[in-house]
Amino acid sequence: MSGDTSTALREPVPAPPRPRPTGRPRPAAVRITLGVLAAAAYLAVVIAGWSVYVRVADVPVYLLPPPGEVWDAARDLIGNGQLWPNLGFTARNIALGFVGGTLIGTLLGWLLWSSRWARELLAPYIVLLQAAPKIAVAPLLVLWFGLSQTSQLVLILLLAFFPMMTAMLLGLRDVPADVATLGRLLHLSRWQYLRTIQLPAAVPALLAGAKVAVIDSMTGAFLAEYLSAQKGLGYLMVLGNTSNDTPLLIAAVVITVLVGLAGFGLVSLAERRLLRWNR
Amino acid sequence: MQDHQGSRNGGGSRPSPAAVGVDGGSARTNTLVSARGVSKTYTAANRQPVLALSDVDLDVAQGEIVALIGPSGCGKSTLLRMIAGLDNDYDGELSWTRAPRPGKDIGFVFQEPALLPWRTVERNVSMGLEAQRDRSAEGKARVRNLLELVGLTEFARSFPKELSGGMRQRAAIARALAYDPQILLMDEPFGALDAITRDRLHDDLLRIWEQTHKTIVLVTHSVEEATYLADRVAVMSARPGRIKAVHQVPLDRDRTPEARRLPQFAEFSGMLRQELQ
Ligand SMILES: Nc1ncnc2c1ncn2[C@@H]1O[C@H](COP(=O)(O)OP(=O)(O)O)[C@@H](O)[C@H]1O
Ligand SMILES: [Mg+2]
Repeated sequence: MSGDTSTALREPVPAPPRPRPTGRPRPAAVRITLGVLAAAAYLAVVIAGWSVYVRVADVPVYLLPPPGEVWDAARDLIGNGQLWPNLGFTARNIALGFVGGTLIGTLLGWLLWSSRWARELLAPYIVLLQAAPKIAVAPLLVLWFGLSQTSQLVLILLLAFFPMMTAMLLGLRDVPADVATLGRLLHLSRWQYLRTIQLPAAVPALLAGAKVAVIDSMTGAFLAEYLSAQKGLGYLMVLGNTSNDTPLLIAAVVITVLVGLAGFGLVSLAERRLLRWNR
Repeated sequence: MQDHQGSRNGGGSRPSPAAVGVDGGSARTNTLVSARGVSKTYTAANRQPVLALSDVDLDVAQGEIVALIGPSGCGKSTLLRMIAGLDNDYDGELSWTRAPRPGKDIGFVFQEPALLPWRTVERNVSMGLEAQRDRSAEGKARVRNLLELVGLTEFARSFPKELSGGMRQRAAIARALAYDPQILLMDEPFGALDAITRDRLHDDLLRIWEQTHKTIVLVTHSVEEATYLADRVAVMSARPGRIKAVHQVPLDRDRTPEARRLPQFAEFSGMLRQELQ
């Protein structure tokens, strides 16, 4: 983790050739091109099917507009300057909520793992909190924190921290007994042990958790905006819905999905970098 | 048990002239660690007490290789963990000539390599130095030297996943020695390896000993391994774990694979095998 990169920078360029694992390595460029092509083909099929269906079944526009109208609605959003502020607002909320939730969840996971007191004191409430449907909690948050960004962030944090906490607990259990013994033999301090052994050992689990947490953060953000915001992608959806502008609604949904994919992609990218040793 | 000093040359082994010099008084004078009347009782899951070690006496001299051999469950790991300071809950006494400094004086090798998979070989080996914030040139040189000694220089920047089982265990041995501990404790370190790899690692270990003259306590269940590597072999019996006898290995310290074919090798390991039954 952080220690790894810093030392990697300090160390001189390796002189001996590094042995590579054998196999059929496919160049990254080829792999990415193939991936993009596959995605494009998939998209084309979906759009074509959609377009044909709307025409053949003669679906009214207010139920399902043809792809072209959605495209126009999306272009209008860009053209009239509505897209970027709303997208930026939502993206910032997701990012803040995700990062905050990750920090809180990881910390809580470590706390629950390391202290029996914390476990007995907190665990029941945390599970209870998670068992409550967030849609039910959301109005309460609005009541307590007002129609503010605070209530939105609290909702996102509530959704995002749990998968990270669970992942941390799982990851900490992944430290093999011998490695834990090694930590004692080397007389590592609590902090050294966390930094050099526990956290890196938990990284695979944390990344799996982050994939859930990033999606949950988005859900939280949209839910919050749906309920309370005057801004954001969720607000655009509400706008499309209330003004019977179905193309706008669908355009907002599509953009939302794209944001989700981007978040997921970022976590996957982090995974590729952090788990190099595992490939 | 009490007469283990008398039995150190027992069992019909004939110490070679070279081995005699290491034996007896000279080995006793520079004792590094000695166990006196050490007993250990575990509480099993069903709350029944289990006597794992009973009244164990053992001396380990500076610079010697002692093998602990015995049937599975006789308390070899338990004794080793006590020496390592991992278990302080026992009866009896464990005394050191120079008390081990925490985190600096115990090198430990497990049956599995237990490397950190996200660290390169080099950074695994220098774990102990890093823990002590030792950035000295000697430390770095020692890491380089050890990697060279176990034939991993080319793989210094590889990840454990890219190594074979034998190479990983070599890295684990280098890691245990990188901070220059007083004593190297090994718990069945070659048990998980195939026969050919195991023989190679035996010679690696002997080579390391030549260079470092480390005190080594080696747990094994192979009589050949004990014979080939050790100066003295402590034979343990199970339930409760005791030291049955301590034998001097009748071979020169300077051992090569040819030693395995010597008649006294077969005779001594045969005697050990018989004693284990
Ligand atoms: N943590 C433990 N709790 C209870 N019993 C244990 C524990 N560790 C070891 N034992 C018991 O102590 C005895 C000695 O164990 P061990 O030292 O691991 O033997 P060895 O390494 O010689 O195979 C065994 O009978 C084992 O069941
Ligand atoms: Mg054992």
